Amino acid sequence: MIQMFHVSKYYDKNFPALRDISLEINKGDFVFVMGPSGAGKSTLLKLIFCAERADEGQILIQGRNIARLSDSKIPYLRRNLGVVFQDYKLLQSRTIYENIAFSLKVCGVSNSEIKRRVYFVLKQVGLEHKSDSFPIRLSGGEQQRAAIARAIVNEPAILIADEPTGNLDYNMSVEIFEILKDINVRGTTVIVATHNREIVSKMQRRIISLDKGKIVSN
Amino acid sequence: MALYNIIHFLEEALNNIRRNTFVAAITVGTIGIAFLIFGIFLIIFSNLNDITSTWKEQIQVVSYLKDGLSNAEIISIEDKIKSEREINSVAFISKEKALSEFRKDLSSQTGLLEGLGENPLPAYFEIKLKKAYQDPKGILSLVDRLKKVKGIEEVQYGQEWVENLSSFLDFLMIAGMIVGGLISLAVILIVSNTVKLTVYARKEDIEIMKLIGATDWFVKTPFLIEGMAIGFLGSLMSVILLFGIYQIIVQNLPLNAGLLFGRFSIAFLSWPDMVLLLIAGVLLGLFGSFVSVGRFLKV
Repeated sequence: MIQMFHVSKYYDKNFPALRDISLEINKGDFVFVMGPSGAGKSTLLKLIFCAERADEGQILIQGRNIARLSDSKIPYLRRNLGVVFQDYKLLQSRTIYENIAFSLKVCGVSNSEIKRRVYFVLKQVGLEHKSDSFPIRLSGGEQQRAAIARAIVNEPAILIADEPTGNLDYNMSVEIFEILKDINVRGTTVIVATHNREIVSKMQRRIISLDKGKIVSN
Repeated sequence: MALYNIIHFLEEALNNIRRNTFVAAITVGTIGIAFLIFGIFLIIFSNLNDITSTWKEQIQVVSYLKDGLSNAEIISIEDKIKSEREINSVAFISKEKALSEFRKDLSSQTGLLEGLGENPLPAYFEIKLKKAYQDPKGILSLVDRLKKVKGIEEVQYGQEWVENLSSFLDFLMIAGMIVGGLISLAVILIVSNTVKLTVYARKEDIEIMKLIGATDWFVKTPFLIEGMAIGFLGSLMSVILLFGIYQIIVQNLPLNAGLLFGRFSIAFLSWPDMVLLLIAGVLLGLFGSFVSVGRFLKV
């Protein structure tokens, strides 16, 4: 599903953010990416959804080499990936319903289909009663659940979460990981970058550890 | 799909304005005031232009004829004058008519003329020039040629007046171009930057939309429509304000003020000027959005 071959990324010529990364993530995997701050976790994820481009090496996603993907093709790649961020990245001037619907509008889905699918995912993350609320009226946990709903409403093959519980307390974090686990059970490949050792050790999943831009254990 | 997108884009643009009513209102107001200043300049400039062209129309060349010419000779002189390319119209004033007009001019003092035995006034041609030749250069070359016509004794054209008018018009044109250019530049900068600010305020939204998988055009188009709508509303506001100000000034102007310039009224913007102002608003709004959204699309 995702393969990386000798991938490097430099923000600064002398200090690579990622150095010679090679890895493979299979369909249906649930993978944690761990490591101290500045280890390159976010950069690794950003390479997958093309928010950053690799300086060296090749990245294959579902058999497609994205190293040479033109800028105009990136949106189509992203529609097949769901991305969840630490700061939720919800459109503040839109309701939760509108935020989630936007993902589908981008793909040209009809309004009636949008309605059906948005309510379905809202139910899945337990937010059906908040559909008309604006993000600012929601707790951090609820906002992150809304962000997850938006990420999965397109039924992506891969869900990427970058520190999804970074701003949340323990109980809310457990809740978020439960939802991610559910999504994985339904067949979606899930990749999560996190600091949360306690929950990671409880969940017993594959862990890719990074330090100073290199994989130290996989 | 195409129709679906158009509806979506229009909805998005409208919703964006609705969601950011305050910012949109301030932007429309700023653009309106910028265009208002430009409109005031336009009205002043086009009215000055109108006034000067009426002044120019008053320029005429008078060719005095020698005494004792036969009718045939006079007709032949008239034909020669008419054949010049600068001529718009020619009127013949006979000796008798010249005298009777002179009497009319003197009115109460007609007694002065009683001692005259013979009519001392010469017959003459009043020549009006075509618009394109109403300047010193055009007049001088015509005067030179007229002087050479047999039977014409003298040619007068108010040399000083023509030269003064001409240098005044040159000054007006240069001053107008400088002031107009500066105001246009200011309007372009103000309008496009104000629209840019509304986009800057939503740069995070643009980033989020891109991360969700929206194409550049999907993100951009509503902003472009919004920019055009705001530009249009701003310039429309300026036209309405201009008309209001114009009405107030015209109604409070002393009746004889217009006489000063040989005119009786101040004209408002012409329809083409108004349409141009609105189009400029739309285009500047579009330009401002286009440039600023483009900056944030690289995600």
